[in-house]
Amino acid sequence: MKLHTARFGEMDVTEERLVTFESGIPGLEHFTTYCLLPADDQDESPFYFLQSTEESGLCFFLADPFSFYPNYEVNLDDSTLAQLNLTDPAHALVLSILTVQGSLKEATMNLKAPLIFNTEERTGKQLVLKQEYGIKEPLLKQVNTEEAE
Amino acid sequence: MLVLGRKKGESIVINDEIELKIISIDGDTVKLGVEAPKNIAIHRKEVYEAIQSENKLAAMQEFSLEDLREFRKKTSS
Repeated sequence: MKLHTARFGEMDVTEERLVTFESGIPGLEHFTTYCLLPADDQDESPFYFLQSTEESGLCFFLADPFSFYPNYEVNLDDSTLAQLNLTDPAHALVLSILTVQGSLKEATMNLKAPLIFNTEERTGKQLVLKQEYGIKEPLLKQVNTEEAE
Repeated sequence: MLVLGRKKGESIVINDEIELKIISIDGDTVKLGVEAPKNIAIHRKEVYEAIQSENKLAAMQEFSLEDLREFRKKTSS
């Protein structure tokens, strides 16, 4: 299908890349279909784009939180598993939303409310974790400290 | 909005499955106990609102793809 995006222009995407957020994403509840695009073709990068199929200007920038916070923990409760119809842990994908204001170096990551995907059924939802994680955690804590030294 | 007066130790029941109990009252702080089925998500409203506004902010940001390429070069080297 043809996808209109503000960032990448017109794209041709396969149905397998589409993800349904049944209840939308909090704050943007009206948009329920997105296209998950790895930031590079080799699928090796921890970065992804989540482009709305309904609104060309709506595009989230996501990253694998475990690449940046190795001790990060996400517990999927029964209700989330049921909502996403997630039965096999191998089909679960956890990605965090990044907020970039200015340069990428100052990007922050929302560890409190990661996006959970069922890669098999292509469904997703934003889960609010009970743990005391921050909504604006620095993406590059380690690099910043090294630079300060 | 339905407004009910409750004393410490008293509860209200919502839809036969959610119980909201007043645990303690101290000045302007009320401690609430919530008993609900596991599939009911319960959050402090300010946390939920902060997530909503962070999502809106994250959805509208501008940065160049060139920036991402540069960034990846730097972090992978």
